[in-house]
Amino acid sequence: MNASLSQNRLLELEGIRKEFQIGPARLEILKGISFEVAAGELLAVMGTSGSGKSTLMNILGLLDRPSAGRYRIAGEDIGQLDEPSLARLRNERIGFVFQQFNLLPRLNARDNVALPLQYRGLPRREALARARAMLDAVGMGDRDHHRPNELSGGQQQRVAVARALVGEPSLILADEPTGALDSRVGQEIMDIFLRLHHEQGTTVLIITHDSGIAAQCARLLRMRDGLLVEHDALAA
Amino acid sequence: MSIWANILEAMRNLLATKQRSILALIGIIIGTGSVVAMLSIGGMVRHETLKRFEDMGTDLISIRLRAPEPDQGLGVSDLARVEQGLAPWFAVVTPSIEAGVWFELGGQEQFFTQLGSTANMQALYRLELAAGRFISPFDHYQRFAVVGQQVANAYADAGQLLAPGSTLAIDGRIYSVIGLLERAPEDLFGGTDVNHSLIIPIGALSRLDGGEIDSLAARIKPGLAHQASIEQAGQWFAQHFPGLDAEFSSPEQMIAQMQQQLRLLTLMLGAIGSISLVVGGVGVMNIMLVSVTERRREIGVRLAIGARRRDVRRQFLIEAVILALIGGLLGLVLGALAAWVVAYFAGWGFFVTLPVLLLGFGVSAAIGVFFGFYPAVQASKVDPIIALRS
Repeated sequence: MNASLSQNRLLELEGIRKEFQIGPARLEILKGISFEVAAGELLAVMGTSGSGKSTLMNILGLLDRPSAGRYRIAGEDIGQLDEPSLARLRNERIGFVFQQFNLLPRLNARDNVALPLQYRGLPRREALARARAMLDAVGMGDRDHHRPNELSGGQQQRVAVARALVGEPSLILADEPTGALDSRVGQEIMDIFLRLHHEQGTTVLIITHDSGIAAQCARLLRMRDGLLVEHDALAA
Repeated sequence: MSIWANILEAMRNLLATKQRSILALIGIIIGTGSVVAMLSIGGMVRHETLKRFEDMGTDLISIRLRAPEPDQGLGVSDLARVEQGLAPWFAVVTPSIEAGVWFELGGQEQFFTQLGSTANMQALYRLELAAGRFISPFDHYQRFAVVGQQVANAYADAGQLLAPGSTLAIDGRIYSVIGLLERAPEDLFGGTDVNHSLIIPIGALSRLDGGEIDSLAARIKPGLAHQASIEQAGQWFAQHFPGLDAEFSSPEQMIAQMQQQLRLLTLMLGAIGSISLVVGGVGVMNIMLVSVTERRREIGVRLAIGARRRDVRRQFLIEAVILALIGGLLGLVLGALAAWVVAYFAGWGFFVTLPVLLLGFGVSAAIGVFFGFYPAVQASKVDPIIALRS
């Protein structure tokens, strides 16, 4: 890692462990994970199911706390933060994209996209205007009044990407973003991420088990049995 | 998120489940309706009662006389003695003898009352004359009649306009009209309606019909305690006319009686209201708990995109309150309608006061907050990891 990147560290993980107590048994899902992500990186995390990548994603996304270890996001140690502060960080720093899109079924596309801004306290009118602009950016401007069930899977995922982007987060956290889509539509979503990465320097972390998707990322991390193995992307 | 955005979203969610929302609200609708109806009806009764006593004065006393044995009753000849005996408590006393009569007028059956009384009656009941004069102390046994407004109307309908000097033939008797009355207020004590009566000098009527006095009306002397005066007057009667059953009615008693009846109604509607509100509140709680379960994933998404737990709690609380308020609004309409129906059949002036409406609204909002709190807390405790995985 060169000097300019270390100046610019967005995520810093040091010895992250996560244990779950299931009945009498204690299950260690993450066994000490350390890595850093610089602002502007596009990276993939691969791993079989049960390797701990979902747990890692929850911790990265501030939905869960590690049992041990230190996690800093933009220099802020999240171990010190209470629940409302974590919510604020999620809102301002992180944009989630899920495999199942997870749009709210009763809201139309524009209202879905505006939601993060509304939780930030922006006036509704302004939130809607920015949501509209973001839908244009992902090519969904003409569908802003459609509800999720009136959209195809690919279209829903585009709206979900717009929702993740609308708050101008530091990090897009995409959990199997193409997993529910056929490969052509999946690639369209991937193209949006690539474009964001190249044109705007957005940091994107994609969790996937599709090696075709992973191969398009500059950096690849592989999870195996609660541990992380760094790979050169080209070697994947 | 602003309150307004929360309200907007709550409305959208409720509209998406219209049917079950309305069903969940039946309890609140009935509850709020009962409360509003109860308070409105209570208000109208109080208003009507007060209005009538304002017309008549609260110092008016009615004494209904009944003699269980023959020849024990009060005759016209006893009047002077009674008047004197009651003088310590009552300023004006007027007797009446009532003789109802059915007869045909212009092809229609009519019921009038021949009301034997004295000149005092006019002042006592505050009767207004439309024409002519009232009976006087000097009319004694004269067959004079002062005509009540409805009687005059009935004659007018039959083509006979009555005026002082006209002659009436009723039930084989001839009366000379000496005066016509304006419309008189309804009798507070549920006695004879003056509007449907001919007022005849009591001497004349007792001669015709044999004269046991049916009732006395009196005004309590200014400054005397009403209840004590009534009790003492009652004792005077018991002492001097032991065979006579004298039943006193005072406006206070009438008000107390009405309020007694009203209390029963209030208690009943209050019970229905509170039970319904509790049932309605549980209905709201139930529907909100169902909603929380159904929308776990949505809650997870909201938390992921930056909602604080308190935002989620507030959202569900607002939804519960709006749900309850919709029920409250429908309840207000229902309650006002019920009050209107009662007023219509009772012939009262209908009104609903702002405090009643605000109370109905406030009660339903309170129900929403109280019963919506637990589901809202449940919603805010959803674990986003589990909710998003499901």
